[in-house]
Amino acid sequence: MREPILKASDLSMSFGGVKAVDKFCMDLYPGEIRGIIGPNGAGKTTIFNLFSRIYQQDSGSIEFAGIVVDVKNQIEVAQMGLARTFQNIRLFSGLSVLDNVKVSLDFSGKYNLFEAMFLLPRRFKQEKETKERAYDCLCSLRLDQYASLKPSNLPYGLQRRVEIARALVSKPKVLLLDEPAAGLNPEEVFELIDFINELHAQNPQIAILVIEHRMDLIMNLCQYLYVQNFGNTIAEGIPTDIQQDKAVLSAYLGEEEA
Amino acid sequence: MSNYQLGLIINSCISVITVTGVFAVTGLAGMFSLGQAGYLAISSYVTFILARTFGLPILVTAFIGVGLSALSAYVISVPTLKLRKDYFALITMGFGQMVTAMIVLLEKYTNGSIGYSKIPKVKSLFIIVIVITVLVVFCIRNLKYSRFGRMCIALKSDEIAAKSFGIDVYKLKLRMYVLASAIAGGAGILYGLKNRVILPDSFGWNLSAEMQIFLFFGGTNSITGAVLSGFFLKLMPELFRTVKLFGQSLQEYRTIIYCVLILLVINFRPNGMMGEHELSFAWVRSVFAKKKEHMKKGTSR
Amino acid sequence: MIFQLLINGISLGAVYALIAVGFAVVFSVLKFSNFAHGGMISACAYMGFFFQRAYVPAPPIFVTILVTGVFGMFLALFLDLVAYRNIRKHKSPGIYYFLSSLTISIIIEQVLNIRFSKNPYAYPNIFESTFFMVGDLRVSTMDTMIMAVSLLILVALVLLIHKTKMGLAIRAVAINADTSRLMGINSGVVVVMIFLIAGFLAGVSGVMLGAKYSVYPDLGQTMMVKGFIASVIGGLGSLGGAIVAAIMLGVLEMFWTYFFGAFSAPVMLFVIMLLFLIIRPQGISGKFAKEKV
Repeated sequence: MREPILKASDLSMSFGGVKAVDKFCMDLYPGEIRGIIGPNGAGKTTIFNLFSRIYQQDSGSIEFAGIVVDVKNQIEVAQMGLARTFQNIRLFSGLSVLDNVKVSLDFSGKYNLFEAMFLLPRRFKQEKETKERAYDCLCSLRLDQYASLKPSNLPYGLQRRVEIARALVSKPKVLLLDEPAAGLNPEEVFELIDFINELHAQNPQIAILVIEHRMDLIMNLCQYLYVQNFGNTIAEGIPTDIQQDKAVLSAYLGEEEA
Repeated sequence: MSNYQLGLIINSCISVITVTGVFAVTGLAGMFSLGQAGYLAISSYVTFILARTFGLPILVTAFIGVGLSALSAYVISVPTLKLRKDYFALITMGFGQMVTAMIVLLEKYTNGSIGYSKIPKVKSLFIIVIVITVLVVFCIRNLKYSRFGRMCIALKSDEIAAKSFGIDVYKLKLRMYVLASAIAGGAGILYGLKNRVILPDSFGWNLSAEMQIFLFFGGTNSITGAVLSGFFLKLMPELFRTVKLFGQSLQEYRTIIYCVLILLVINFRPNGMMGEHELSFAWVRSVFAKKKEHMKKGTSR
Repeated sequence: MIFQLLINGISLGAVYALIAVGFAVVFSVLKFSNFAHGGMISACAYMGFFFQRAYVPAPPIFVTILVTGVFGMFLALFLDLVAYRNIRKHKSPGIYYFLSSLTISIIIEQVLNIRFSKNPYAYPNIFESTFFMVGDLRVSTMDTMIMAVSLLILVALVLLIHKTKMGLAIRAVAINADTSRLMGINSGVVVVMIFLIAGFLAGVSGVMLGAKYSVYPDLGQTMMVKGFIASVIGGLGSLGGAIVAAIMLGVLEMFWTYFFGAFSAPVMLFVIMLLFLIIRPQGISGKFAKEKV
């Protein structure tokens, strides 16, 4: 019986009087791609923020890689191997594309302040390794030509890809993708689907959790879905079942073509 | 070169050292330290008083002086780093005031407002200052291009996102602040060696403010800007020595001029004079490459 | 003697409270620390001095306070126009407020320094007698007056914030400017009000501090830091806490200065602030200004 890599038990969070997340439960196993869908304001990003520990839940528990992370902070959880992208792109504006990706690896760098300042050998070795890893990652996303540019100079779709590169380069155990297809045209969405599938093939252990609105992405990628509305999970299951679930249809999918 | 001119250059170099330290804390880690002069003071007074009282060589007491500056920086920042940036800034301001008050308070040892002048003369101070200046700029530049520099810039750009990628922002800020205080400490000692007298007034708000102004002027994101700014702005008053305005030498107006310039820069060139640019071989090469290209094509610049 | 020290302390604390409040009022609505507040205090102190001296016989101190308060209002509005308005308009990052207010405060100080030099000016004698008797005790007139005026203004301010429509508007904009605008509140008017209040407070504190101590360019800045320290101990973000803490601080400073001398007082205040931050960071009132998420 495999252990889930990320597990939420009765996760609840309110803001003021509004219950953003109400007893959310989830088991995410290594190698899976699961999705969270639902109308805007359903609390999906809040769930992500709870996993990242940006928020502290009112009740309920989160386990990551078998360890309860309720008391852990953002930094610790990230260092444990949780990576994410953001709904509104949060690339580091002061850094180039390459540096944005490198910085994701920096916390685990092996040289200290002194070695950094005085250009000691360990720094050179580490920097070389970091640069290679980062560059390779950019190449695999066909972003290498933009390596020295600032993110603000790139079109939206490319910035999204850089965000994914940044999240991926550290080979995280769990990858949280918050609306990765937002702002992409249909062709770009296909590219993204292909890319994520390829990524999945190359890294069979990585678990991916996606928040999305785009049905084409959800149906083609996710093996299991959680449908959220007003903080509650109104349905969960495999995509084809969800497509026909009455509650879901009335709340959400009814407005869209399946 | 006359002694006087050498003295000017030494002053400018010391200025460069302090501004580079401020760059590490403000330009990289995004914190505002308005009490940096306090660290110059602590290090300076401790170094020279110990040397005099116990007959120890400056080289030895300098370590203690700088160490004490670093220690105070650590003690101050641990409870205050997690506060908002401007609260932290105000606290550092208070710290600067407190150090000045302490110097006067400990009159018995420091000679209070009269100033401490039992500072030995050091041969070839000029060389020492130049070497240390180059060393400090060298180190901080390396820092900027290391993983620490990247993490700092990341945290400055977006602290929450930075934390989401495992960057320990508190530890980083702490390190930068303590580093800057150590650098300031070193500068303080050099200042004492050059002037042969230290007063509480030399390490007051005016100095702290000056360091910030020099940094903002050159651009908070550029070491080159900080260095050039630190060097030339310190030198500039010399040019104005003979010019008079409203019966006062223009020198007196220099701070106001800098401030007005900064306000203008904020409005028209928000990234400072140098913006994001750094002087580097690659950049220089690219400039020449562009020139060559233009020449080949027969176009003008 | 204790009673005298107590009165001194409360009066000093009340002025610190004025400063802390003037600072906090701008912060709560515009969300930045107005470093120029110290500069305003200094400028007003000089202004009050010259006004007081310009007329023979000298006008009653209350007139000077009022006039300087009004001067402070104009100064504050002018500063907003020159330093902050553009930043608001362009929605530039918060750091620009900091830069702007800092450079303005330096400019003010430098201008005062050049024009009037660092030598302190002493206000001419304001009262017929420097002290009066309450039973057996000698009570300083100056300190009593300062205490009375400060407490009066603080009460008026609290009433303004909590009982008037404008106060409600201010509180609303402090919570959320955009929503307030959607609700029909003219945030531009509120901002003007804020600076008027802050300016008036700066003016009043400037005169009183100048009269109590003396007038010099650094005056405002030193006092501003003390006012801020009071805010920290009171709990950042809490007006009531700041006032209580400021008064306590004033009393503490008075007693300490009496026993240990004036020079160790800043050190003591700073150390106490640090201790509070370590032991009880949320201050007396329990509000903590941690870096916002």
